[in-house]
Amino acid sequence: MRAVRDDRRFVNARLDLARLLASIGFAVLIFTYWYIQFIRGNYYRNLSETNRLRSLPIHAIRGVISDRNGRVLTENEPAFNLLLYRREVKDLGSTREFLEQQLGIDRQDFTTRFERARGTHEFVPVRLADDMDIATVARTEAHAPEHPELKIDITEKRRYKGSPRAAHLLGYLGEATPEQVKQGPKRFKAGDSVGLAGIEAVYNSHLAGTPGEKTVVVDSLGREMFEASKTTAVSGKSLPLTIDVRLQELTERYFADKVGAVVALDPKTGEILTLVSSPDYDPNDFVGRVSSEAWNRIISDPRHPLQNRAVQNAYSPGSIFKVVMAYAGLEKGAITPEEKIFCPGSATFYGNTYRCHKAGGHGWCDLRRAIEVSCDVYFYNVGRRLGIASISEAATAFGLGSLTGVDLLSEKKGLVPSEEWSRAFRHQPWYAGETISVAIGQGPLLVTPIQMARMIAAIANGGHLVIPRLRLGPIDPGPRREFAPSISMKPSTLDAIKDGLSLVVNGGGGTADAARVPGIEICGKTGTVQVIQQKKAVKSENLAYNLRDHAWFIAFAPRENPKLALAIFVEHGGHGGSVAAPLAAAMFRAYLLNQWPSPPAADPAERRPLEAAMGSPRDSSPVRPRTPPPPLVAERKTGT
Amino acid sequence: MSQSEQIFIGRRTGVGDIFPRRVDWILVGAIVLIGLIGVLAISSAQGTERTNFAERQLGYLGVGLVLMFVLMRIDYRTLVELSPWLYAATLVLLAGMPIFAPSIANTHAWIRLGPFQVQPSEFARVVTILMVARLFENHDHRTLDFSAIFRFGVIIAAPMCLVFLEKDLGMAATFTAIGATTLFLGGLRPRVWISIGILGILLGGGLLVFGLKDYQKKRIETFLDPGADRRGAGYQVLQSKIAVGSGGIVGKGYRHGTQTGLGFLPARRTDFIFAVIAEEFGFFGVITVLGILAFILLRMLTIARRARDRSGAFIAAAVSMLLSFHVFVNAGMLVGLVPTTGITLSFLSYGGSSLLANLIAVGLVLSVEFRRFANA
Repeated sequence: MRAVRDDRRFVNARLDLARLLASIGFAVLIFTYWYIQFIRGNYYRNLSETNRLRSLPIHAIRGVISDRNGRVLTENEPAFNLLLYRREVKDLGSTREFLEQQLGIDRQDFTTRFERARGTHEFVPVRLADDMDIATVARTEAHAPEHPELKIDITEKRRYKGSPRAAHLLGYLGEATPEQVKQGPKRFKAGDSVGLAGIEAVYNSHLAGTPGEKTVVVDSLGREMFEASKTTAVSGKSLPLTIDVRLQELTERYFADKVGAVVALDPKTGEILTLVSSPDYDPNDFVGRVSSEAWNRIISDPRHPLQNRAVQNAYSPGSIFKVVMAYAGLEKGAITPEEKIFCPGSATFYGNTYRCHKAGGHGWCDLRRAIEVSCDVYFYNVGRRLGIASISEAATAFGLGSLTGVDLLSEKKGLVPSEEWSRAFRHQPWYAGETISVAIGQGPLLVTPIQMARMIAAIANGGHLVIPRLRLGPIDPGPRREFAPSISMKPSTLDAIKDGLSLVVNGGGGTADAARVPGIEICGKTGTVQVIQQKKAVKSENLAYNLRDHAWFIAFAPRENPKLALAIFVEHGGHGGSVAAPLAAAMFRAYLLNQWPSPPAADPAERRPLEAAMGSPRDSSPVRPRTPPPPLVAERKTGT
Repeated sequence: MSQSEQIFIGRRTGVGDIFPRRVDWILVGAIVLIGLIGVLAISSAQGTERTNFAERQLGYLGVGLVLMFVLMRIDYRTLVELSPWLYAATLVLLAGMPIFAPSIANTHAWIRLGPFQVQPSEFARVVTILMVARLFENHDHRTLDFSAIFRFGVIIAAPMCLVFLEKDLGMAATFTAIGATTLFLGGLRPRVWISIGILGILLGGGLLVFGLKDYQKKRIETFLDPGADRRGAGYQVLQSKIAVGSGGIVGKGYRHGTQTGLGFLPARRTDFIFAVIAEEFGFFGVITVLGILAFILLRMLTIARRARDRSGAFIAAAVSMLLSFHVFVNAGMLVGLVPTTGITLSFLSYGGSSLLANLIAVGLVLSVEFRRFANA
């Protein structure tokens, strides 16, 4: 071991020097603090009392939504909010009085907003009013010297163009709830707009961007002295949709006086070209804060305009379910395409008599004819031969009873009955007689219009269950796939069903003559759903509105290389062939043959010819007509 | 080493067992006190964040004190012997940082360990001190010659450059405190001191005055520290001076600081924690905290002076000087004596890695004191 300490003289001398230097360092520090705190204390105390820091929101511009051809459905326009900086309020009473008397902000509202901001930093503003009109903004600015605590904040608000409205598809915006604020991006504050329904909600984070914030130091008059810090906002991204505005608009116009839903999609990709639910609402009513009047009007409407009937309501399919029955019968070998069954107008199973919709009967029918004339007796027999297990298996294969995966909220699954379901949920056995009802799409079987559109698309494309979607572009990686598992189907099955569906429209004796379009082979199937059990056949038109039948029509075209598949549902619409088929014909003619109907001769008071001709992007008219205005002529000509 | 352990374990009774006399209990007490003051100040600086930072800091303090005692009971000479291995492992870890560590606030200084973020460079400094101490032990000349300066320089510069590559500039700068300690304790001949001084002035001045155009300086600044914002920095110093000055003699009272409460102070629980204390407890608070810190740092120099060997002296002195560097730069920055940098105030600023590494370093110093008598 080495000798210790004998070679340490120099080191120790240097350590003594270090101690001296450190002591001097501390002395300098203490002197400086003493100078600032003792000598300059009053100066800095004054500064600390007049120190005014304001946090200003920097709004992120919300992404624009457009259709598949780049036609915009939404835009943003300037809006003015009123901010209050609490720390700069000299006399709360006089501020409140000014707000109440000059700006019309009531006491209650002021207190609510003021209280809600409690617990946040005082230099973060309280938002007192949104979307103020120009007169109010001017009044506020005129009184700025007396009320430096108030500030006008210029932001942007959503404007829905309104033609087409596409209300259920786009959804609407509303003030973020406290939970949404917590989950949302950074610097996202109570009162900011978030999508609450439709595309606006599903793709909110894509559209919304991230708000920024800057901190400025202001003088006693509220003038900005300098900027202390700044985080820039990131604008939201634009979002192209799969829909075609012209087709959407045509459909909306047709549906303006009806209740129901339409879904039209590309049978190969699942891209939704049109999605309409009627009655609809004006999404502009929800921008900012909903006026209580508008909200009451929407909420108290017995027809529930907020419901998206295309995905959120499930109905009995009625005769359009015969497509699934035909598939099941052929694939399971219960029938052959050529086998004929005699229809005398009714049939008896298990001791009960089941009527065909044609009182005199259809006579001998093979599958093609049975589909063409929608013979109930034929499908009663198919149903009896198959049994409920095979029927529900086939329905499930077509995606019934499960979500389609469309990018909209609150989609309903519908219901495919089975023996297990009956025991588990109804606590009673399945009755064989119910199978006979299900065979023609009645009974405890519920489907959504979008499921029906997908089902007919699967027939059109040869057995692929597409996932309907509204967002254009490559599909996000993840559980979604371009195609769900294919439905196994013999070519002969497909041909027989398509033959039948073609006869429905083109056969001359089919149920959907009104859907015929010269030059295109359209395949379709009508459906009529009884709302009440009737002892005798009664013409639907003679019933009270809410007792009338529901009408369905599903179709695709052209038969080879299909480009459009659709499902139309009209609540209490009567017969599918007469109510829904003409719309289908118009849609096919427009989309496939590029023959768009001429706009209806609109009421001159409703038209704004100058703006329409100029294609002005801003629509300042506060009152929106119930029927969307006709499409711009120039726009239609540029269409493909 | 084993001898000392045996002696200690052999005495099983008496007060000395609970409070062994060779433990510097006054220093330990001062450390605990300053740590708790930090927790109180962090609690006052709590804003609307969901995390309770004071509670966390208290947890780090507890864990750190345990580590400190563990380090104290380990013979520092064992660690000095092991230091090449520790040093090599540290270099490997630091070299991986720019590649593997995620970018947090423009630096690659942090790695994630479960729920915690750890800053390896804090611990790298302690290991570097041990490594230099090992060389220092065998260097018994009166002054350092150039080959010795070169060897020490390489050992300190290697981790420093790696930390620099993490873009953690403030931390890299603190390695110079270790370097300065080495030169100072090792000693240089007067003409070398003068040469270094002249060279530094010429290089620095020449570069600033002639070498670079304004936009180039700006570019280098932006390259070196992308987060730097001149006006932002000026604003920060103004706000911290207002905080300190408005505290006056007795302060505004605990949790009554307006600068702190209203969010004028940036980074108030880390770099600006001392401004919180100055605002809320005034000049009395300032002299109390600076007094305790001065006591701790000077006490460590005393320990260095009476250490049994050169490596022990170096460890205690280097820890003291490294911490002093933090204190002077941080406290000086708040009142505008030193330009704004991201240097924390030892024992007081919020941060687990920093507190833990500092307490480990104190543990080393206590170990030096514990074994100060030859053959003990």
